[in-house]
Amino acid sequence: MTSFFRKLSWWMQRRRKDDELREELQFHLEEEADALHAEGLSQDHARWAARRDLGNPILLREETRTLWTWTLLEQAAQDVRYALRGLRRSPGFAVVAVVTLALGIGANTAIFTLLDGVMLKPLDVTTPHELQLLQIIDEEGPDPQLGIGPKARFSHLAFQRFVDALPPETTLAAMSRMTLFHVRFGGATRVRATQGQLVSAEYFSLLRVRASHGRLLDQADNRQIDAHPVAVISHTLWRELGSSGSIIGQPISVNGVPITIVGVAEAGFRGVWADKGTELWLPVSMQHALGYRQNYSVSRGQYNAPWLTQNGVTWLTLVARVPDEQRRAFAAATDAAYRADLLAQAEALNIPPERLALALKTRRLLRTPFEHGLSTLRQQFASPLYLLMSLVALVLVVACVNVANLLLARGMARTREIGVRLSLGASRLRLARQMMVESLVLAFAGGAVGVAFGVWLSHSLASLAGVDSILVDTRVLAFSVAVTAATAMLFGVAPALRATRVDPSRVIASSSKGVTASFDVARMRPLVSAQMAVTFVMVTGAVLFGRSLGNLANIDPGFDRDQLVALSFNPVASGYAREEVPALQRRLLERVRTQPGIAAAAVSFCPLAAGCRNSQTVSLEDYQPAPDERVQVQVTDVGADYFTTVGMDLLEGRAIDARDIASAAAVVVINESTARRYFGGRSPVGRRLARGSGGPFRFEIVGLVRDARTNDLAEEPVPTVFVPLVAEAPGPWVIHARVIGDPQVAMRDLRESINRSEPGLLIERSMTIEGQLQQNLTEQRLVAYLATAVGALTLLLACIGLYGVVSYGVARRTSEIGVRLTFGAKRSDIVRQVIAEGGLTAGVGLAAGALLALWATRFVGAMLYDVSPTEPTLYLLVAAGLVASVVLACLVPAGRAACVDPVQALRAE
Amino acid sequence: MKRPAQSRVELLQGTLDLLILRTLLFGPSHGHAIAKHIQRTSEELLKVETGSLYPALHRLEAAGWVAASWEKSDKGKRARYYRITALGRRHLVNEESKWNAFARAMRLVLKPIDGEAG
Repeated sequence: MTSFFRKLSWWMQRRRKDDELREELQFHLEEEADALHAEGLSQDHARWAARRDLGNPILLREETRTLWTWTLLEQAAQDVRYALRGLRRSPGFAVVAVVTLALGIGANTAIFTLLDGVMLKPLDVTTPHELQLLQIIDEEGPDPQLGIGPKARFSHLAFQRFVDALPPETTLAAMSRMTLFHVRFGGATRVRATQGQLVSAEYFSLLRVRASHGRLLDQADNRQIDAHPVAVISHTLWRELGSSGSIIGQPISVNGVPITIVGVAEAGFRGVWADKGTELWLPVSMQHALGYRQNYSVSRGQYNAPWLTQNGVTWLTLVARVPDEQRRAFAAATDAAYRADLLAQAEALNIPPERLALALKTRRLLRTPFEHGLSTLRQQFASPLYLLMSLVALVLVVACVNVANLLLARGMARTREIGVRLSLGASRLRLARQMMVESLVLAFAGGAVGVAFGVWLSHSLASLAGVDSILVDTRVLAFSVAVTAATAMLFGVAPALRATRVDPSRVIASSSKGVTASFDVARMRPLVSAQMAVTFVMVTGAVLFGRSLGNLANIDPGFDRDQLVALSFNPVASGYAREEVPALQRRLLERVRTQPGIAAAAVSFCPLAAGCRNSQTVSLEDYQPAPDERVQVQVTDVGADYFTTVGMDLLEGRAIDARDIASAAAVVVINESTARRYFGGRSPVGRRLARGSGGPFRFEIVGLVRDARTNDLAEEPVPTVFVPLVAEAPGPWVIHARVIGDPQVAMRDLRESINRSEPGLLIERSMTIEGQLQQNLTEQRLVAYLATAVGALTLLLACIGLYGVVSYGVARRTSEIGVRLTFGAKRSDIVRQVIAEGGLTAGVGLAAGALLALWATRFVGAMLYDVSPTEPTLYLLVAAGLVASVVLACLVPAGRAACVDPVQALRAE
Repeated sequence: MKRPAQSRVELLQGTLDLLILRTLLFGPSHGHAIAKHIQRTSEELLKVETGSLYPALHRLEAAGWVAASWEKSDKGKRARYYRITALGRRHLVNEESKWNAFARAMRLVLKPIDGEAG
């Protein structure tokens, strides 16, 4: 310790110490010279001998100095200062290198921010890696929807059987999907749309969350069906409501049901959904009272009866906390419970033994890590994000190659300086280290600019992707720093080693500037060719994705997409009594239709282009399905005037009209896909069908409409059967309105007017159908925009690279060009030759790139719409564009070559 | 400076510290005098390289075994004088006994072949 302080105090006065050492050595020299002089040497000889005896005084001082300084640190600081000085001396190089790196690092930071936010970030709860999601794997494999699809849903009875079988120290909790609750606080008329979940008693202890006020939900809240009107709110919601401690015990109304707030969850807890925060938690026992009916499957169950006691209704997501050492016990216990559950269900539901045997054989329980929680975006963006991440990584590699090329050229220009320093006794390692420091300085300058650029980029990307909770945090910064350091290694090491592999004697002896110039330019060319190849692939990809997006955006959805708006309602949840709903619907339709600027309006169950799927089994009188075929169609409930309002053409027969609605007539309208698939070429009008499998064919087909992409613009039309939306339907339902003039303005007016006349009714969503269609293409748009940006970036980098190599070659050969000009070479020949050389380098790369693109684009075929990745014109187009860029990149150095003044060039030699 | 090379012995690693501390037992001294003293007392067998002397002195100072101060030399010039500290003495005693044990061990091992040594 004392020696540390001594060293510190020495380090503080190191300048004085240095002077003292100089004096001490000087004294030694004089003493030695005196002694030698006394032995009989002449004064001069004695001095020289003393000097020789002392050796290299600088080295000696350097070595002694290490005792009172932290040498490595000092040298590093020196290197940084030296690097900064060097970069200031060649600002052109510095700017190009920093900008190149900033583009590469920035693009990586931006995509990583998005990837991290959507895919990688673990839940912000204690030890999230201990959490596991239960789902069922069957003959088709696990759920493609990453834990939010039907295979990850269980009945409440099954959940209780699992809980009974759990090994000690493990916890299992059940929860519903996130849903929009209509909540009234403190007796207000207005409804607040609140994101909430029904959860079992174990939910909060599973996530190790404490209450900041009041209490959380416990076992006592899950005893009896519909008998526990209590709720816990999030800390965020509590703050929004005024942070009052007296909120505990206050009555609120949730979906029209009186509920008491019993607690506030701890600050910062947002639930288990990665991309939206949960604001309200209610006990699962309240499912029936609250009218929660989402994300469920019913097989041999009652959809209208309480779900809690039914084996046939599956609706709960099961998440467990399993300490590492309990994994095995947990797996065994849950497997056994699942088997017992299958047997119990089979008995309760009278499932035939052969189907049970098959189920036991093919279905089993799958436990998947749950540390990232649930997300609706994850599935949608997984493949585009990973694709983009690999693209931008490739861009960074291209950027590194560029900077490495620049450094190589710079290293060659400094051959002489390095040779001199080597011969003066600098060690090669020290020089290489110093050049690495220069690379690091460049990389971190590029990294700093890049992170700023990346933050900006990630925000615009997030808004493009419709993701809100994206932030650049320490994880992202750590990633950027790591990328930056790796970048420096990638582009710095080879040039540093190469530049210091210099034979000092040769350098000093040779008077000419270029020692190994031609050799090294040849060495740089393959890198440029490789860049060109990568560029070809990137640009081809950009064109493909761009065209695909264009095709999708201009697709005819089968209805009239312009000037159409939709507003959705859930009156019962907003607190209307069931018997009030038909009157409400009539009032709303009346109000909308008489509103100025509205041409037509109709009610329906699903909004257009919102991915509202309602698949049901039907039977057709004239169609005999194959033994294992189930006739599944999309069933859409629509009111009067629906087809004229949305602009779906009626091809045959008639539409569903007001009389059908009023009399609840057994009539349906089908679309072309249904007709094609089940009626062949014959006219379906007048035929009959039944809803469900078999049974009397009660419904008469009265009309045939054109196919439309009602679910999603990127999805082919599916067989659809339109049925009358009965007037008593409690909702939720949607009103579509055809507007005259600006749809945004019309929509705002509609909202205002409805809010005025029905203040207690929540408009769950209101949007233009055009906006909804645009949203359908978010993923494709994201990919197309980014692929274009990445393609442009790579092209820019490749051109900079080519420009660098060609101009370096020209600079090296100035004297040769001078000689040739003197001997009568035409300037146009010189220009042609420079372009030809650059063109050859690029051409090799472009040819390789075309082949590479042909191979690589096969992997994105599934992400393309109506574009063939093997179309020859596409490749010709890309090649033409790239050749033009190559010529441009070569033109400047070629021009410089043509302007060489022979006299000057030769004199310089 | 022209002394017969074969008569000189290479310093063993780590022995220079010992020699310097031992020399300083006779009183404070500057670098040149220390080198000369070692050379003389070893009957010119040991030659201290200036290139390692000064780093060694500063290392000993850093370890706290010697202390340095600027004083007038006998010729009236300013010189840096080193003097052994209490800590240095303890270290010297320690090192001396280690060295003696080592030397004894070397002698014992080498004796049988030497034959004549006794």
